[in-house]
Amino acid sequence: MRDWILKVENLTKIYGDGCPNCLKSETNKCPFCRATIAVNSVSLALYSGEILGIMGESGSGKSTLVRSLYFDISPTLGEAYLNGEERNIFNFNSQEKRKLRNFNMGMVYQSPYRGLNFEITAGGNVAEKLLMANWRSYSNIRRRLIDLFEKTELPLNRMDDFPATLSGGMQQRIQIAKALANNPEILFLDEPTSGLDLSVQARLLDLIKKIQQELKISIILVSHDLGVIRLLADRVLVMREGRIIESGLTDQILEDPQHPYTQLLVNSML
Amino acid sequence: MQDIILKVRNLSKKFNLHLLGGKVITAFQNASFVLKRGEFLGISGKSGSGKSSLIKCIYRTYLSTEGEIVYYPKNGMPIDLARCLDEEIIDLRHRKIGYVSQFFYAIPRVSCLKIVTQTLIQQGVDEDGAKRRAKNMLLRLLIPERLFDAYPSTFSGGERQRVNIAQALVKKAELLLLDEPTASLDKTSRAIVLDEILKLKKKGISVIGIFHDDEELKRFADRILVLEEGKIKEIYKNDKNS
Repeated sequence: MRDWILKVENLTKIYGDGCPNCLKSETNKCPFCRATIAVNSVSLALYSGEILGIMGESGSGKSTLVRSLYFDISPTLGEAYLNGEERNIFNFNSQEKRKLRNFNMGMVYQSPYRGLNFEITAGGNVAEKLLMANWRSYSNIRRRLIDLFEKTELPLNRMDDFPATLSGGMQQRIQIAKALANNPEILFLDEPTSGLDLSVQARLLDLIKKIQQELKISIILVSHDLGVIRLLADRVLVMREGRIIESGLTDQILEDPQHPYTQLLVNSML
Repeated sequence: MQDIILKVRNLSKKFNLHLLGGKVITAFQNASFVLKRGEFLGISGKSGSGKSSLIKCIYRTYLSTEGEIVYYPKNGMPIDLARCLDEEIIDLRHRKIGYVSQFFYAIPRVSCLKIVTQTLIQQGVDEDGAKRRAKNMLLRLLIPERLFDAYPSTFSGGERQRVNIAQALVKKAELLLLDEPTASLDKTSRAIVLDEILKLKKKGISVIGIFHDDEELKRFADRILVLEEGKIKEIYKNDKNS
């Protein structure tokens, strides 16, 4: 069996002061102190080389969960471990966290405005990630950029264009190129294809599948789209009101969901 | 005593339909049987008798409600397919257990050769070898070479189903689960598929299969398990097949 690569225990993110009753709350709004419990006591394991899907409706805490793991958001409680590292990564100092973000992890956001700097060129955006990982030689960086553009099927002649002049699909590819720049072990994809038209979405999904198979990278994929989950994920976690309410093999969750909410979701599929 | 590959004990599957106010539907109950290594067990019964559900529980597309499904791999420890970790099932699906469904959900924009090659790569076969074996299997199942780089979503129902069968038969699984694999095929391709299944059986692969045609079933099955309204009515030795 495959080894785990990332383990998360009781991850919780509370917006507001919080109180001892927050974690017992049924919904993501604490009835006692009115704090928002965006993620409530989530535990999971990501195994090497797998795509783990996280599904659930807007506001269920999916994005907060992956953004916490990428250190965009600091969790209120909880622990996360990488295999081979004994310390909780949330207790790392900021320099260590930056190193993990640059070398071990990659992130693709739903909105390119969050993932890209629109003030610099497409190539510059990817190069930035290389520079942060101490790449110094201009010619090496240029070569790596060409390699990444080819891998993500981006036209080389758009490298010096600004993100605002690129199509939505291309902007997502730039984000993927940037995320893959330093050969990370873990890739977080937060609704990577939402809002794109179908043919662009299909090509991006292809690309993600291809990258996963070629690079044997482990992926956490957040999506509210069951079609995307069915296509890509080996296993799925279902989130609602900040909690994981059900988990299983993708085909099992889609064909034999146990929780009333998952049954509702699956039965709402077109 | 013959070597056993699968032991199913008191297995039940109930669906709790929360959207219908918690209505419970029983697919099958108290199923107990064994599958010997190298044996072909046919499952027969009317539509709605629980045949597919039983196969899906073994493959874990359905979660069993009660009971156990102990799988004895050739090398390694026995494992309860009804209760083991999802990761363990994924691993078994990649390496040991094959499944052909009635309907094939074709991944859009992945060529048929790639689909079949991929199942071998997952099993640890190197890329060249995987490609060669995949091509061979597709040709044997009458998928012409000109379709190799086409997407199965554009194929006819019969062609698509043969790709589905190819990807399950190409890997040398220890246990093969067949859920009416030939239902959508014409006579010629049906005969060819049945022939390939027979070859695998001769190689010692254990099979549990549903065939909508009882004549077909009797051509292969060593024993036949009869389901009636979710209960095992009988399991008998198939004398026609020796």
